[in-house]
Amino acid sequence: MAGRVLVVGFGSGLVADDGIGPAVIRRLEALGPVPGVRVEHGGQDSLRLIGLWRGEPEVWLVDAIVRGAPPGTVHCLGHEELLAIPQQHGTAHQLSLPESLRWLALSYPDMAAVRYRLWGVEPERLELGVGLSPAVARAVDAVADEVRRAAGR
Amino acid sequence: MPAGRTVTVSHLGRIEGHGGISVRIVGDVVHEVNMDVFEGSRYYEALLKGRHFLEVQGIITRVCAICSASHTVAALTALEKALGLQQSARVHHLRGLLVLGATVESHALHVFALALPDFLGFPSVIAMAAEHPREVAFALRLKQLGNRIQELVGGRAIHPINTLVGGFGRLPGASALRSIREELGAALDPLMGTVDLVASIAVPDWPAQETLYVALKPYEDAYRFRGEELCTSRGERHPVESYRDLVREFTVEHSHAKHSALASGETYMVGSLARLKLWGHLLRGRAREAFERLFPRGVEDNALLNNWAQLVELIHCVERGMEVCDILLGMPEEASEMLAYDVRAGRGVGALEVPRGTLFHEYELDEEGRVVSANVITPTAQNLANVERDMRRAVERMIAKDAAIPEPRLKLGLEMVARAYDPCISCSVHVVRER
Repeated sequence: MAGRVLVVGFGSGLVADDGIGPAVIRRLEALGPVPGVRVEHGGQDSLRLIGLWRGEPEVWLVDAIVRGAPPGTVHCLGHEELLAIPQQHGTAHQLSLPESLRWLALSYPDMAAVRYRLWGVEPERLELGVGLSPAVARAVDAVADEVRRAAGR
Repeated sequence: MPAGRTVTVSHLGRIEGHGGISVRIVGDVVHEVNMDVFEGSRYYEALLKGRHFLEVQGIITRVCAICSASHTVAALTALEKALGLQQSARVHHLRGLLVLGATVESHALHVFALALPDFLGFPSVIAMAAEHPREVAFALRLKQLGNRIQELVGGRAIHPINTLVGGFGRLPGASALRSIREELGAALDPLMGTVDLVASIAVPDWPAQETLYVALKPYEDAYRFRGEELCTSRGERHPVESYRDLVREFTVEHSHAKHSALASGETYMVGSLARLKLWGHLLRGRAREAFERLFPRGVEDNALLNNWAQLVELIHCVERGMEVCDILLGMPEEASEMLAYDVRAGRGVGALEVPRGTLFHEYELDEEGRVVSANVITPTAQNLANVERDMRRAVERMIAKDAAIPEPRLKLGLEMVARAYDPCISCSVHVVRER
């Protein structure tokens, strides 16, 4: 039976602050399970969300997001706000996160009813390298705590 | 002297990785065309030196998440040759299925989400859904089917862990293979429907020019992605072990990726269009129908047609995937399969036709199985010089037709040529080594 919430962290731990998603997921795993909540690593291809989803009505995402705020700033976006972000550019095999969510809804009617939420963290560096910059690393605990608080409501 | 202008595409959208284009035009003469690759170099080959051969697969697949299955199969093939190992029939077919799954995933996304919106005049795949909802929905399900094949064979969708030197950790069960076979069968009719749509689209001829193609000769008399001989469309043939005699790499100032040319200095194209040019006559079934429909006069020299060649190959992959499932289902069910082998010193070259073209992996091992040297040449690195050549032709044609052509149209034309090659920048940059 599907739980209430699927939490997925997107990004690569080999691309500096793009590793915020995986880092938050590791933190959530370390903090222990929350009833009805499943956490997963999403990798870099947001279209692969369909392979992780098991019918949860809510999918919460954690990713790096560039909005021009100071590094480490956490942006909390609700369903409508997230899906209203236009496609900026993608790569050959990675469309932007909102574009991927729109395409998933078109291709899998069951997913069209999913409600999304995004915790996006402003990165400082998006280049090859292991490890988060200090400001972004400080956001890991904050996002993990906020996700757990939201899940407990 | 007339004033010059520079056309710059600072970020090349809808390609894998970070790249751009710059073109210098003076009057009606195109002076310089550069495909700039500014993604950082990876130095994977240097990283492998001194490592045990069993570590190679886990490291080298990290070159690129998208192409990880292709790098895995090429690396294992090369390492097994170095060790003198002969693949069993089951391992051969399972690895073939893995490559087919990777190709389905890659081509489905490129044809439907990246190329078709360009040709049909939509800014994105989602915008295209307004007029072509069935194709857009089907494309993602097809891509997901390619992912599931990779998960079934490789143990997970990216960076396979079930594939090992000498065999597989766990063999897919019969029910899983039957399920994949059924889904592949269900994909055939929608794919043929797309052929009807594509056949109605006029393909611009801006980049069309005489081109040299390179692809592996299939290991049997059928359309296949593996082989032991490298062939050119001019009739040259080289055993894959001596690929360095045919393919020469060189560095250019504007790119972090090496470029390639033949020993003669000529640029060449690898990929779906090259494979169809050399081996399209070996296609059978509905892939053959699609080939004859989309290429009624045979393969013509126009890189933009690579998009349609990928569609033909998608149909081939689906049909061949069903055949491979049948072959595997006809074998006795086992939990795993692993050949026994001794470690020895040796050199091996693995060559494979992957979505973007011919991929080479070469390893030399010492008597303890440690890597003495490694070399990887990716399809994108081989294509880059030809991409620039085709972009030059495209700009020359476009400004010859309309000297006042608006810059956005020129940029779109350049991007379409680059995207037709489906470049994977992430893969291409790992090959630059500091000397």
